[in-house]
Amino acid sequence: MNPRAAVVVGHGILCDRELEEALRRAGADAERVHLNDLLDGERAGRYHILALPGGFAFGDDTFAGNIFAKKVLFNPLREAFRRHLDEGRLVFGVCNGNQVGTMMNLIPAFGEPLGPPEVAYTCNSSARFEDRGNIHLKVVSQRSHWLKGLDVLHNIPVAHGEGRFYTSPRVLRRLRSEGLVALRYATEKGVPARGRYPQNPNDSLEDIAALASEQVLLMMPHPERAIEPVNQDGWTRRRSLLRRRGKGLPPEGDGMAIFRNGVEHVRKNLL
Amino acid sequence: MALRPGLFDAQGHIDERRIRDRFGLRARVEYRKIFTEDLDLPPEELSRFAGELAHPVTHTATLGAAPARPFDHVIEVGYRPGVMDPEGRSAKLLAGYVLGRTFPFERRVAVQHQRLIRGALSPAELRKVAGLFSNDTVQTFRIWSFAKWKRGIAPYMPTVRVPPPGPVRRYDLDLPDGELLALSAERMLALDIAEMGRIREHFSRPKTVEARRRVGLDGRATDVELEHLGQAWSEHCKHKIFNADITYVEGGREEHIAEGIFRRYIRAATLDIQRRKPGFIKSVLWDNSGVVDLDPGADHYLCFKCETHNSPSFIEPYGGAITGIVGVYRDPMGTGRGSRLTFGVWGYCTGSPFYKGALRPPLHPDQLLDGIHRGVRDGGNKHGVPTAIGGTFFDDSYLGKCLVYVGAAGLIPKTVAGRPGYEKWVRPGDRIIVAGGRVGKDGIHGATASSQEYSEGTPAGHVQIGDPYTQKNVQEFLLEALGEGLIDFAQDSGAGGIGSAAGEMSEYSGGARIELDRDLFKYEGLAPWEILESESQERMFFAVDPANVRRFAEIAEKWDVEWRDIGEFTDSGHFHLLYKGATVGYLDIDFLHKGVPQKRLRAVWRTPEERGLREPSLDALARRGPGRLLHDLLRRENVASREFLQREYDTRVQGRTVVPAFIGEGSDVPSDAFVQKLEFGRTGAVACGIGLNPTFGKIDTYAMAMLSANEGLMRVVAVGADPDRAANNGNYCWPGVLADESDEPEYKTAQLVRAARAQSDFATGTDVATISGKDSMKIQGNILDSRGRRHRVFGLPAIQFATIGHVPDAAGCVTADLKLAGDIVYVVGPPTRDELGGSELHEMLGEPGLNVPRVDLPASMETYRALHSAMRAGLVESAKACSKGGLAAALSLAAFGGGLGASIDLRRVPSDIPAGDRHRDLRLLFSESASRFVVSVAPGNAAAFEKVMGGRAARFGTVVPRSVVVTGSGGKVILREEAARLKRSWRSTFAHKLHAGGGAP
Repeated sequence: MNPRAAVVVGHGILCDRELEEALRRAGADAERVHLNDLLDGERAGRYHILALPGGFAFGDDTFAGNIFAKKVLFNPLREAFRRHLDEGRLVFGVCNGNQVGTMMNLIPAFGEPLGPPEVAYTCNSSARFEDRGNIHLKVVSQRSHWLKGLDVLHNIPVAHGEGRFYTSPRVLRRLRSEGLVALRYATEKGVPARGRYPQNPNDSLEDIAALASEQVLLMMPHPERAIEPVNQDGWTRRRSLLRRRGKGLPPEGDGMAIFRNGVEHVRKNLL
Repeated sequence: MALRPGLFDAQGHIDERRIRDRFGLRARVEYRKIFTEDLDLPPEELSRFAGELAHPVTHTATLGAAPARPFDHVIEVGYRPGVMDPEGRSAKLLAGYVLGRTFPFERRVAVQHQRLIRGALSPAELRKVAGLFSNDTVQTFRIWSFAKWKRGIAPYMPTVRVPPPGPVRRYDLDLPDGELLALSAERMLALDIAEMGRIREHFSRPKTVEARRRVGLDGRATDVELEHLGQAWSEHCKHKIFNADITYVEGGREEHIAEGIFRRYIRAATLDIQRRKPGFIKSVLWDNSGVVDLDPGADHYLCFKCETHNSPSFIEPYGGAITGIVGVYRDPMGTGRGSRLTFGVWGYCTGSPFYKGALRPPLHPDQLLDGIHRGVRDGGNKHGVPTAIGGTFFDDSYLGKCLVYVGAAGLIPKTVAGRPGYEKWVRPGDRIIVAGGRVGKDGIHGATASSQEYSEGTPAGHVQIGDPYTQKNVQEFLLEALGEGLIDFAQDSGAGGIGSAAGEMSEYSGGARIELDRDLFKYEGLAPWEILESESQERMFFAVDPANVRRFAEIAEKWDVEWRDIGEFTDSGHFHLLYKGATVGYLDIDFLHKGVPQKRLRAVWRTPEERGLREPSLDALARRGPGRLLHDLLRRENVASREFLQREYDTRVQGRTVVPAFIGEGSDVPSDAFVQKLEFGRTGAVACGIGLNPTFGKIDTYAMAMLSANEGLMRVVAVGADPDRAANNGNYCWPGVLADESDEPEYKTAQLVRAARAQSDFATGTDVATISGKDSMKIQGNILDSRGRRHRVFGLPAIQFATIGHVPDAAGCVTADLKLAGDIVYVVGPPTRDELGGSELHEMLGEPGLNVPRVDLPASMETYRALHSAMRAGLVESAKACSKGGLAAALSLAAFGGGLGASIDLRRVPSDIPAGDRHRDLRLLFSESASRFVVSVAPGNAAAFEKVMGGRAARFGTVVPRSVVVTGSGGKVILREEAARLKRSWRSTFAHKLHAGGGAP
């Protein structure tokens, strides 16, 4: 039996097929499921991984992630999420899915889990949507099952207009001390960007690109857009260098390690 | 809803910059959003709803007037009644989720944007500033002083008040010509006397009279019928100029093109190529997009279509452009029985963003461009379709009307329910189902308005705000219904609404019976003819077997897609329209679709010499020296980096992107083409590149069309596409050619004939077929200058060729940036000639010149095939197609794209320019001779590369670490510039539009 993953779709979710592909390549039986088919909370129990893809749910209206999160929270699906987490199962949210997960307070949940959010991904300081492929991420906490053994992820794309991480100093201190800060925007060498643009593409506080607990990874950049090396910026340059050394490109893109970690964790511990 | 104190207000900050950049005014701006509701909520529910609108960490929501620190003025912008308000719609859904109930359609939430202004602005300045945030055709603004605002302001809830429609009007057509023409004008039919006369004649036929009597109509035409004929016979729908009988005169010789230029030049060449390449070209020139079998091993065909959305975008750029891109998506979606969108393309032509002249178009080109850009950005990004690649061309001839090109490709399953996915059919008895958006008065007369010249009286009713959210739901619903084999025929509803969509479908079965009152409405009060012609967006039509309707409906409901069954297809031979049970229109299908009389046009070509063009002197430019000239060229607005546009378009959604729009060491230099895998897990990919260069048309539109088509092909070859598996889409944008609308109708018609002939010659010479396309006429405007005088401004004729090609192995793609110092640099392709005509160098002199580049098609194709073979063998490190700015610009981009330099020797560039020409070096550097590439090769592969290229590649330099160094014909170094400095020049022109970094001060 393979780990089972639901990729939640509908209402303007857009990045679902690539997330499904990434989870499948990592060994999961992934399927796209419409939010409306999950609302009663029953079907959600079938899955080891609930994956929230990127997109523009409800057009980002009011603010990104809000209405999709509320549709979950004001339905029995909310309790299904609680059971899912209580049973040690995993959640992954990317970009708009990160914003949805954040609005559901899947992390940090210092206060009420599935209650009001404690951090925000708000309007980029450029006030622009930006699409960039050459974003590097430093893994600063390996607390999460999703990030075990990882150090620097290169050339992971971002594409968002509301990705600036923000929270209060109090919450920030606690995030750091509990190891919930998972990824920071970094230079090519893996050193945190320290706010420099465009390495930190949105002016996120302390270069924070993702928060993660053991079970939940919520990240702004798109590892599912880096499944193969040829999806990653600069690959023709790397190919030229490697060719001279008689080598070829690696078999997988930098993004796959995250999905392999998550699926392997389920395989070893939850099957 | 307001930002919490102390947080950086990015929106307010960027607004301050726009106010400063546009008007030179200083003001502080604080942004906030107002939600106005008429949901009739009790206070407790209202405050719960309000509480869910704001993010508690960053924003506060306050009921009633939110407190504010003192300010000077507030500008509030909201939509006019009847205009789509997507955010209001979403907020109403939120209220429903939070409060656990649904609200009737009539209950609404509306959104307004408030900007609190701190700064001493005069009332006139405030109105100008408000105009930055509000477009008068779809929005309205209110301004208050702080004191007035404190006393309280009334909420703004846009409400449509439409009087009930009058009865259907009937018109006796037995009128003299003058009165018939007056009727055409009164009802805005835009039909000429020949066309009105044909309608009069048809209605007087005994057979027509008898058929109409059987359904309860008398001999008079109803308003429904006249409006429908006006729309169905519009230039937009019938392409009357491309189908006109033309007499072409050149050098005293007359040539008769009786079948029209579409049939003779475009259709003939395409169908001929289809006969020769039946395995590649599957379905062309009849459906909503052209279909090719790009990758024989894949499970999908690729379909592709480009459109223009010029007139609406010129009036309301944001709404026009978003409606344009979201609208063109429905072309692939409505091809065959349906497809999945895979990427989109864009192209904008406006006046210079730096225009400082006397003309006063409705919007300054800078503001126009900004609105178009934001519209395409939101339409593409929110639909989940990579907005892959595009281009701009700035020229003040587009002050009278701008060009907005939008295109889209889709993936069609090769087999659906046992038949090829591009096949579609309508059977008598099939239900007519409309799904997606509702019908309102918006978009009425769009098809006819787009066929008219711009003036202040142009009705704004045809401008809408596209809604990618609704349409994405339609796309997903369509795919599921398609997968279950429930659809017989999928059709886009765009210009012309039901009349156009269902009208075209009814040709397949031989008739239709439509009950207009069964559609879904935004509000009451639409007359039957308005329902028929409304161009409300996000709507698609389907022919569905009655046995499949139930399942079809279930899938629609799962995806929150509204749908209605509005009638059935028949074989009655008539387009039968009913309203509340009574017949309001009964039109013979044959007459409707084939009855329009053919226009007759005369075209007289005048050669460039006859028009007084000559080669300008290069002496003045030569004095600047090649180095400075190169910097100046790279800064020019049609060469400089336009990162500020493409950066905001998502190019990687769907996860199959292989070569994105930006490449190179800094991921900030444009790629010649975009490449995307067709399917996960397959090596085959599609490349897409754009050719657009109207400048050459100043000399000869034949050259313009030929060079634009060739540029599109070069660009896809440069990234690794097979030149023998390529196709294109041609979009003509032309100033008026008819006698009553043009300053020189016969010459402009001749320009059109020559362009079409070039397109035909290109197709025949390369076997690259035009699989789809469109024309948009009347690219012109009648605008005022600063002293109130009128000027007619005619746009330069333009054709955008968007070319697609098959990349056999995505991992073999090549990008333009130089890779490693020590690599050998080649110039590949035919010789560089004395061909500065229409070049960017000549543009610097303000004179196009004469010597426009000629395309040697056999030599070009040999070059492309050889280069492709070399790429397949892994021998090529980089390849950059030479286009604007010639060899010098291509080499510079390749160099700074790679963070490297190159040392080249012009003496080794193959050329027939005489050694004694004192401007030989300038010609070699800046001529835009066709079909050349700058290619770099690893030293170890040089011999093998040269062998494959067979004399079509000349080694002319090496890759070096820092600088671009050019040795001239005299053997001396004539140019030595640091690549990083060249890049700075190239980025400087529009640097003010890019974010400089940082945030909160």
